[in-house]
Formats: sequence, C-alpha cells, structure tokens
Amino acid sequence: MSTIRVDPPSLSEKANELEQYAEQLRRLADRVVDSAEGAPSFEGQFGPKVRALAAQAHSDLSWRAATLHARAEQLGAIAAKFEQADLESVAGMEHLAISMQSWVERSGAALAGWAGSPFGQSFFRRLSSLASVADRSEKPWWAPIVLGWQSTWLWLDRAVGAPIREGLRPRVESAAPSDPTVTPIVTPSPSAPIAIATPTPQPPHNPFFDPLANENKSITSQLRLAEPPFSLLQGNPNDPPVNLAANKLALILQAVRAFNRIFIDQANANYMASVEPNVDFSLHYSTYDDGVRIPGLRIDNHSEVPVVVGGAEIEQWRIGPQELPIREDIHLQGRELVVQPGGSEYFYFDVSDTTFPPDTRVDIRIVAAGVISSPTWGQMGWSVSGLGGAIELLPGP
Amino acid sequence: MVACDFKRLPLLFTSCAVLAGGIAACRSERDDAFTTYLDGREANRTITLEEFGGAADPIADPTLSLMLTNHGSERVTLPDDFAARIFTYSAESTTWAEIRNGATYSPQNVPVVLEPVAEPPLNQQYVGVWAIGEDMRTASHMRVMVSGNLLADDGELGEEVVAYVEIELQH
Repeated sequence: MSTIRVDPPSLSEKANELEQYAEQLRRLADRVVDSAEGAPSFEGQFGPKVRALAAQAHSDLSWRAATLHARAEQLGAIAAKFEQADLESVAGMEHLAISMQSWVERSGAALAGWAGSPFGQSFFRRLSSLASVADRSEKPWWAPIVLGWQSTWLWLDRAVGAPIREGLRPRVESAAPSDPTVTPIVTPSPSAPIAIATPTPQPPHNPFFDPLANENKSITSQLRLAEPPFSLLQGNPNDPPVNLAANKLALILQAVRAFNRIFIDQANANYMASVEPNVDFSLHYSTYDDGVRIPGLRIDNHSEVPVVVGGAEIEQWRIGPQELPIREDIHLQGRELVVQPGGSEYFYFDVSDTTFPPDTRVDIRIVAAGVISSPTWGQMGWSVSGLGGAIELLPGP
Repeated sequence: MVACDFKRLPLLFTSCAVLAGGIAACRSERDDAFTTYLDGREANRTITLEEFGGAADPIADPTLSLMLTNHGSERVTLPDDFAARIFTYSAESTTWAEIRNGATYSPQNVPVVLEPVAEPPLNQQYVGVWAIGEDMRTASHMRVMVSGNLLADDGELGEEVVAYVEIELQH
C-alpha cells in the first residue's frame, strides 16, 4: 500500500479559502464597475476613460475569480480523491505535488501579481495620471478605492499565495525545512521514493496472434496508391459558355487539350510505375494440428491517400479423389474498411473460428481502392494450404 | 484505297440489316423471356453490374467476381446477400431457369449500402456469386441479377432498382 503524503483536510481547508477569495474577487469586480459608473466627467473626457478602465478591470477580475473558483474545486476534488483511496504511488505523489505547486504558484501570482502586472501597473499609473491632471491639490474621489484595492492584493498574496508556495516548495525542490508557522499540505514520508520504472518496449499488439497455435504466420502483399499527378482541368461549371468557333484562343486550347488527353493516361501510368509500393496487406493465419485458421488481415497504409477495403472473398477447396480441387464453400464478406493515410487497421474475417482441415486449400481475395479523384478497385489474393503453406495469387477472378 | 462499287451497296445494306435484325431478335428473345423476373422494375439504369477482374469462364470456374455500381444521386440499400439470383438460358426452350447461388454472405442481416455516385469508390461494391447447377453445362447464357431499394436520407426505402449482367457461356 502506498503512503499518503498529502493531508486531505489541509487541502480541503485551502480549497474553502480559495473559494472565499474568489467570492471576494467577484464582489470587488462588481464594486469597481459600480464605482466607475458614478465617476464625474472632468471636462467631458475622464468619465468615459474611467468607465472603460473599470470595465477592463471587471473583466480581468471576473476571469481571475472564475479561475480561483475552478482551482478551489480542483483542490477539493483532489482532497476527496485522497480520502477515498490511497492507491497512488509515490512517484504519482511527486508528480501531483509538482502540479499543485505549479497551479498554486499561478494562483498566487493571480492573487499577488495582478497589481504588479503590466495591466495592473498600467491601470494604476493611468488613474494616477488622470488624478494629477484633474486636480493636483487634492485626491480624486476614487483614490480610496484604488488604495484599498492595492492593499487587498498585497494582503491576499501574504495570506494565501506565500503560505501555499512556501508549503509546497521544500517538498519538491529539496529537503529544506519549511516554515513552521505555515500549515503544511504535504507531510514527510518515511518511505524512500520508488523509482519510476521505464516501460520495456513491447512489440505492437497483434489481435491475430494465438498462443495456442502451433505457428502464427503472415504473408504480405503490397499495392501502390497515389493521386495521379496529371489531369485535365474541367473548368468551372458556372463559367459562361464560350463560342469556340469565334474564339481562336479557345480553339487552340481545345486542340492542346485533345493532345493532352491522348498522353495523359500514359504519363500517369509512368508515374504510378515509379511509385514505390506503399500499402501493405498482411494476411494472418495460424496453424494447428487439425488444420489452419485465418483470422484476418492487417493493412498498413503508408500512402498519402485513404484506402478502402471493399470486401473479401474466401473460397474453400478440397482435394478430391482424383486430386482435383473441388470447391466446398465460398464466403463473401461485404464490409467496407477505410484506412487513413499513415494508419493501420485490422480486417476481421467472420470465418476466424473455422478450422480448415489439412487436405483443403483456402483462397482469399480482397478488393481495395485508394480514395483518389478517379478511384478504381483492384484485387489481390492469397492461397493458404491447410498444412500451413501460403502463396500470393495473381490478380484476377 | 478501297474501291467503292455502288452496285453492291444495296446487297451490303440488306445483309447488315438482316444480321442486325437477327441479333436484335435473339437479344429480344432473351430479354422477353427475362421480363418475368424483372417484374416491371427498372433495370441497369440506377445501378449496374459488370464483370470484375477480367473476363471469366464460368464453365471452368463458376465463381464470378462482379462489381456493382450506383450511378444515381441517392443511396441504394441491398440485403446482405444482394438478393443475388443466377439464371441460365436455354436456346432450345428459349427460357430462363434459376439455379442456385452457393455463396455465403457475411456479416449476415447487415444491409449493404451503396453511396451516391458522387462518393467514389464507395458507390461501388464487390459482389461474388457461385453458380451451382447442371444447366451450366448446356446453357448458352447466364445472367446474375441483384436488387435493392433507393434509400432516402431519412431512412425511408424508395423505388426498387435492379441490375443484371449477362455472360455468354463458351462450351
């Protein structure tokens, strides 16, 4: 059992405090707006500026209050979680402590730093400049609010931000003693930290691997799929009709188009021939004492276009008395599978539980196409012996 | 250069006309005999069926690979077995006879949906059939027919559509 190093009641207490401060922030934001609404317009130009600044301050304060509220809820949830279960590992605790320090520091910065932030400093500076322009001899009407506001920020930082930061920092950085006057959230653990184990690299999960089989085999065929680089632009159907007979340029373009039409297929064919095979179809099968099972295919799409597997045909043949193959059954699997570029998918056969006996031959053909501008279906296949041998079939029915 | 003998033109036209008439008569004969199975349904317009993967020799290998294509703007739904039926034509009796399709289609009870023509290649579907019957040895032609329904966006089934392909049997 792991050791709990965080005091849940302390967390709950701090969560409640944060919620209270959030509520204070909300009230302060409302007060700023209410105060600015009544600001007199000094020579007709300061009132709108004050109200604009107040609106900006209200927005910023409300956002920070909401953030504090969310953090308080988060802290409460963490406390509840600790109370419910102590199954977290020491490594997980360290990670949690780091996370808590991070967000508490951010919260502390929110509490303490707003007044010192560029926006806060700008806000106070602009208010001060307004005050100095308005009346240099006496303080403006809103001066107490600003001073009270500043002092509130500093008090919040001292009361909340600093204690929490001090309470967390020694736990994470070093064994430095913490301030005894501050209620620690994290208590020392007598147990030595457990090193985080580096996971051992595992081979990719193969759902077709059967540990009870004599052998698990696969045979791979490849396709090349790519978008043909050459095409005839069809134009925009909304374009106005052109009288070709009266337009010599259009006639020339039509002649060029006709010329291109002749050679474009050949150009695309040459391009496709130069493309390396980029889609792997691996037929998986397992051999047993009483025959062979064929659970399905794995498709690895290394191309840049999606691949659609349109279905599979599985034919079972039996070697007859005259050693002639006699078709026993044929299964058609009418399902479509789309493999996205760079992705891998498994195509499961419904006959995965069928054991084809050793004196049979099973032919599997699949049809596949690339999702390109003019897709065409292609067919590929394999022949698997009931004894465990397999060969690739030539394209065709 | 080919010499043009205008005196032989009428004979040539007559021969062509007779030949075309004979072909039309034969085709019409098979088509007429097949109307019973179409039962007034639209055929080979919204969906078509054609051989796939090269010309087949059904006598040597009675498993046929076909490609079903939806040319319409609506989706088409078909039952899990495509409602596939196989017929053989006897020139002597000028009738079509239905024979067995030995293929097992899976997954069962899951309809096949052809997307509209604007969504290639999903507007096409591979269909395999296995013709089983003694009539294959004597028939002159065979036809494979599939049928489905137009499918509206709200799932309602619409008009029934049919497609068939004819394959000449070389004995």
